[in-house]
Amino acid sequence: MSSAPGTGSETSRLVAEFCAERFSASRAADFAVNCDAFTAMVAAVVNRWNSAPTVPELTQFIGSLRLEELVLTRACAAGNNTAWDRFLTGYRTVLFTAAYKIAHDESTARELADSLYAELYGVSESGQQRASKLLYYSGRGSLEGWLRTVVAQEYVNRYRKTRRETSLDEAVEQGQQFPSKPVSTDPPADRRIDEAIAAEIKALDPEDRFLLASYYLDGRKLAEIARLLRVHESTISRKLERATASLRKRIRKRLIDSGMSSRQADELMQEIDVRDVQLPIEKTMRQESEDPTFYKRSEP
Amino acid sequence: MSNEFQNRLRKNLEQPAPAEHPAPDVLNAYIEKVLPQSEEQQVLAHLAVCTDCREVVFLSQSAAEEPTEVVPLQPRRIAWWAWALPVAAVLAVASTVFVMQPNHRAITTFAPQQLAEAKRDEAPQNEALKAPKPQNKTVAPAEPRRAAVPAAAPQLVSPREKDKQLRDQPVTGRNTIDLSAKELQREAKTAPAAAAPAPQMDRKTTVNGAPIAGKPSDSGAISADAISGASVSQQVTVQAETVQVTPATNERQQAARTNAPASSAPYGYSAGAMMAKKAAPLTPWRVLSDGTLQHYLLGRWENAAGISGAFLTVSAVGDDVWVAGKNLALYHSRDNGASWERETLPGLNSGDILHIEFTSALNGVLKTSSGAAFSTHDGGKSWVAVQTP
Repeated sequence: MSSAPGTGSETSRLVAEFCAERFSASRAADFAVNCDAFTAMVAAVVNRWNSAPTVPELTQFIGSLRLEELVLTRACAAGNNTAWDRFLTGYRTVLFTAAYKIAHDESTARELADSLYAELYGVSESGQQRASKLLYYSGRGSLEGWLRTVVAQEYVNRYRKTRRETSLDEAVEQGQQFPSKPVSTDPPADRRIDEAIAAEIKALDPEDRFLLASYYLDGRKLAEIARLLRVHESTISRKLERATASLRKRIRKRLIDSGMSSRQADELMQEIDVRDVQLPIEKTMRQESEDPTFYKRSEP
Repeated sequence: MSNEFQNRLRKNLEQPAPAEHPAPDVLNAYIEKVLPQSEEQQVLAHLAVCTDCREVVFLSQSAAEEPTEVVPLQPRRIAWWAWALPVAAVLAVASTVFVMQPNHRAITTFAPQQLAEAKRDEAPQNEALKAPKPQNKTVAPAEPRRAAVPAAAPQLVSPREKDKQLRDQPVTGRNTIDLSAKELQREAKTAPAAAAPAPQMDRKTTVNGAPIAGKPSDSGAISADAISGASVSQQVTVQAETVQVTPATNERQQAARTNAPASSAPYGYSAGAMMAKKAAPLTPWRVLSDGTLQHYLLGRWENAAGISGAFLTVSAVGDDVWVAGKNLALYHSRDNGASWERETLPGLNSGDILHIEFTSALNGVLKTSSGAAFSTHDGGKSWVAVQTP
């Protein structure tokens, strides 16, 4: 197979040339994968990513693929013993280490890792054709990182709800008291306030919204966010300050534009402070669904 | 009311999670910053509204065994200096303080000519000192001279008391030696010719290998008349660092430090100033062997934000930064890396840009793997192919 369905002849030609050039570097021959099969692997990945890429896009995309790791996963999925030996040697520890670091509990981590390992191996539930989860690795980013992300997703799917419930119980056991819902004596809120807040949060720049949500809602540390975005903590701090100030200013402006007096708007704005936003337990609990968030909808 | 507002904010920030989520490989590629810029923005937009995916990326990141940041390796020589200079400076300061401590004297370092002027000013008060001075300066050892002073001038106050008087006197006082930075430099230049170094010293100390000798002046202050083996510029530095007479002269010291030639820095007391400086790279931009672009910020290397790719070369002039690499990737930032613009080369569809160099904000050249060379004279807005030999 030397062409990728639906990607066009030009794309197929570029992929074929690229694969011919990189075949030896991919070490596909170690797993008895020939150049045509290798080309088909890459073409499938390209097709799944973008069915009609431009030439520069395609060149950049295939140039960034982790071919050796892609071949390894495909060979594992095909049941190649050499590939499995190599996978176990190189990545089994990664899997368990990631599970332990995420779960912070040995038994949970082992359960998580064992379960995932079975999925990676592709144990068929109904005795039908074996389907390894490794087939979902596309070579974008490292295999090690992909394994960590899969572990994290599985953890969120399985344990998030339990963990949060437990946390609440533990908090109660520790004597923490939660305030009862305050009885508001204020007059009913103006509908314009809702609209202003909703509109301005919706209009937030994605990065600003990500920062606000990560920091104020998720309670992430500046260092965590900075590491993810590959910038310095002080940069995140500055951006958060700027985003918060900008949000307040724009909400106030929208309130005034909607007919509210400046004084009224200022009084309201004094009471709005996104820095006081805490993780609302009730809301979070309500968002929990029985269905796992990932895999069933995100995987091809 | 406040709670009500906060609930509204939360409600809007916590929109229901989207039905579709990026696949794990895309999230991982986002964490590892290998996504194309457009796709990266899409993932970021999703993360902004999806609590679950945010949790996944942060969990995945926390599970990484080592930080993805590359710790910059400082050259060995710089690392040695970074430790040696502070240690040497601290030792020098500590030894100076230790030596000066018993007499509680201000360390006053003057060029010989200013010292002579000071002595002349004191002449009416202390006539007895005039006669033995020439001999003392060149021949007599310090201790005998010091012992002889009270005998020759019984009305003279002791050096320690005189020293105290000097410190207490205002800037414009008659006995205050008023030196501007320029005067300090001028006197330093004329110092070797104006007066020979006095051999008699009652205490010595060494800073960075340059022995500094001080002898008590007639007024009780200690002056460094000679710096053995030191050049003129070294003397300027020493004076600027050590003159501590009044607050007014402190300001002049600052000016003298500023005016002192850079070449004098490694000598004399200016080692303390060097200690405060952290070794910084020659250029705040670099490309790692894996193609990552890094920026030196706040004393550490950080991966450049808002740009990804396999880069091979980078050039920076002021706030203008150009980075280039594989697949003809060529980006220009006009704001020191805050934002990047993609630039293209005419007539080329494939290849790598191996080297880029800008000599000014407008003029630069680059070379590609195919051997082609391009130049620009408008800061990279347009590139013209140039003939290579």
